[in-house]
Amino acid sequence: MTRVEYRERVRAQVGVKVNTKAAARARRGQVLNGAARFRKWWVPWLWMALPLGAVLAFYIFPFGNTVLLSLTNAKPLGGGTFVGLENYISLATDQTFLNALLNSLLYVVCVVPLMTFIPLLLACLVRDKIPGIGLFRSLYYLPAISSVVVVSLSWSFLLKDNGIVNEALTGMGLLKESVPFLTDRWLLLGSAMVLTLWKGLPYYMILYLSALANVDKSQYEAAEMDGANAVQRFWGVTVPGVRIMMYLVAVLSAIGSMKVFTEVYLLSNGTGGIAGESSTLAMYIRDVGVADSTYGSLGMASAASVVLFVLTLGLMVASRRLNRKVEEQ
Amino acid sequence: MPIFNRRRSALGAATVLAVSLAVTGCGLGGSTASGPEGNGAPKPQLDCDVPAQNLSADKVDMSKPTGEIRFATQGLKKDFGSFFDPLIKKFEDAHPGTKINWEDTPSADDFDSRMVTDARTCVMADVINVPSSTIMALTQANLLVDFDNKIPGIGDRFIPGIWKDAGLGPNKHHTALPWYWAPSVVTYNKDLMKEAGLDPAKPPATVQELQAQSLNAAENSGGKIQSMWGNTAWSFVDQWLNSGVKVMNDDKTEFTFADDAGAQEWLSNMAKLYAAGAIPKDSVTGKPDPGQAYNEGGLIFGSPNPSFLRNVKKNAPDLYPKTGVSATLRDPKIGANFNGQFISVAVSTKNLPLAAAWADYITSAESELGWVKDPNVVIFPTVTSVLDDPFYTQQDVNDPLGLARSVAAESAKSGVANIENFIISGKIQKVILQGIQLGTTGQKTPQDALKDAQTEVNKLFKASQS
Repeated sequence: MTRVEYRERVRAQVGVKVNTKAAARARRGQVLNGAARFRKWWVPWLWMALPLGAVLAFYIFPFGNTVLLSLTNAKPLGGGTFVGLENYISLATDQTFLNALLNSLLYVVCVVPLMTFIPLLLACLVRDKIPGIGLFRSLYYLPAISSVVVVSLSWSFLLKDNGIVNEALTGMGLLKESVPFLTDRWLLLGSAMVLTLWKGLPYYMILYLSALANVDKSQYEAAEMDGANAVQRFWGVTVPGVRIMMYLVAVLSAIGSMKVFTEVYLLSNGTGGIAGESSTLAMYIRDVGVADSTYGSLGMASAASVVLFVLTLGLMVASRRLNRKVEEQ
Repeated sequence: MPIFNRRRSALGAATVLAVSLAVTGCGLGGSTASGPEGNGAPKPQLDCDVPAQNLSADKVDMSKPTGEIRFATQGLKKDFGSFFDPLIKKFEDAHPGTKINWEDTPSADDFDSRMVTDARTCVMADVINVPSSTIMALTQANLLVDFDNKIPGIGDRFIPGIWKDAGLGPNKHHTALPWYWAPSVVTYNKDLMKEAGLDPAKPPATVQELQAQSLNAAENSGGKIQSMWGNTAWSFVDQWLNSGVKVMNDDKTEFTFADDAGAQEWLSNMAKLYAAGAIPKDSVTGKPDPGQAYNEGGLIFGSPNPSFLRNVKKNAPDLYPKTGVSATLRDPKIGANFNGQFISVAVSTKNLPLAAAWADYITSAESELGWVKDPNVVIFPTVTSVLDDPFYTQQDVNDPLGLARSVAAESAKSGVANIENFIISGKIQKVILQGIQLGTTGQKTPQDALKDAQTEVNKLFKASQS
């Protein structure tokens, strides 16, 4: 018997055998052969059990617990009873919370547009392959890999009353008195924003560099041939070409700005400025719920966390709608 | 059952599970701890398993401790491991079959968060080093063992004024043993005082004198020489109590500082000092420690902690011999304010005999004397007899650190544990400090700043008691 004949014979035998059983099982509604054996409704759940368990334990449960706690008067070291929306009503009349909310929203309004455009400009500057560009790109990226704590402390050293910046300004006779970068409500917030920008620009610049690499060069050539100058090419070719990345950067920086904590906290040595006027939502949540075992209120802190979540979600939805409208246009 | 329905059921089950988990999660469970009531301690507010004997009014038998316990401290291992490791070994050798597992958290903030998290999840260490700011919360939640029940008479060894007022539990029972502290002293840069037209031989003796001398220094130097630090987080309670300000009413149920002329005068003076340039402007929101500014030669008055002299000796050796030390700023009729560290035993401990024995041992005269003599530390004991040891009475008073030890030890004998130290913590401390910031910088009148702060803290305090 040749190999081909043998194969044909085995195929015929197996095929007949299998097909017969399969047909019989199929008639009885019991298809169990091969991959079909695993086509049960519970099999996908089985594979997903571990990641689903992790998501439930580390995302869904904490989130659900936060929402539930926001409806109680729980304290850091005590149980809690259901108080309905009392915490949310208290937040609406709590001047400290409203102040923190305003500061966080202001942070978003000021930081997001700058964080969306400046890295794009930087990316355009370092896009072209010229000698030594690798070094420039690395240098620009340095702030992104520095510890935010160390950077904040260094900036605090620069901006304090007798710091280098004030000494330079007064030494050159430009100012008679030091600028209260770290004590004035708005200057402190502004200093923190500059720090956030300085630290975040390089990261987003790298994202834009990858997006710029995908913009078709022929579009630039065509625009140039049509007589478009650099600014026109930027608005007419570059911006539309990286619009999806701009959307991503805007969303990411908006989320980051809404929950800004470290920069303001460290620049103000944890005080949030005089009378805590420069505190942000994240600082408020920490102060009210976590940092105070005696007078803290987990209920209030949880309610503030839910507000922060809703606002962040709202920002994302709004930016998505805006993006869709631009796409339609 | 169709697959779609089965999927829906599974999703439903998952949702029910998630919600059930959430509902039974921390903070929402009722108190079900077992334990006797009556003369014993009340049940903890948290849903933890507490052995009945820990809550009873019976004395604990510490004669034959065995087994293991966890001992949690705050920021001690790095500098004092060489003292505590042999101390633990000595205890374990004296009590064969015992083991003390020492856990140390370096940062104070991390320690507080960890303590709260451990308490909420019922995994508190058996013996804990508790700062005065946290004792109130743990005691109110009934999470600490009652020492008056479990080790009757243990308080006799401690400085009477401190023990008398440190009873925060039901019936003024003690839930914490005073461990170590640092009575305040005055530290000053003698050269800078001279330069500012002040007499270094006459350092301030009261808070009012401190403020008056600081104002003089600023006026004499045209605002160039600064004396005081703007962040008063470490000093305002001490200064108010030491100058006789009535911070709370007699029942300790309400804050009254805003109505006290002394507090109003104190804040008015702070505003004058700020305006005159006697206080570095950005120090109002700076770190609480003026040490760095002093070491850089920028302040006349340094940190009031005697341990600061060690810092000056190490980090500003040129300034060390020029540093003067004098007794703390207080009315002689008022005792030195105790704001120190305590030792407590968690009510959830499963080995009370060993935990109590270890707490007793580390707060004994022998252990405290051993530690205060450690060259790496400048702390003061809470056991009265240790203060009469030659280590304190025979210090070299020509050396600033020796003088600080001698002066502070003398002051320590009059120590009192004002309840305000336990109450003014967390949010209440923050609100008062914010009022002080507003008053100091002139954004509010001192009266309004104090009054607004008082209204707010009374609200917070009342809410915490309900």
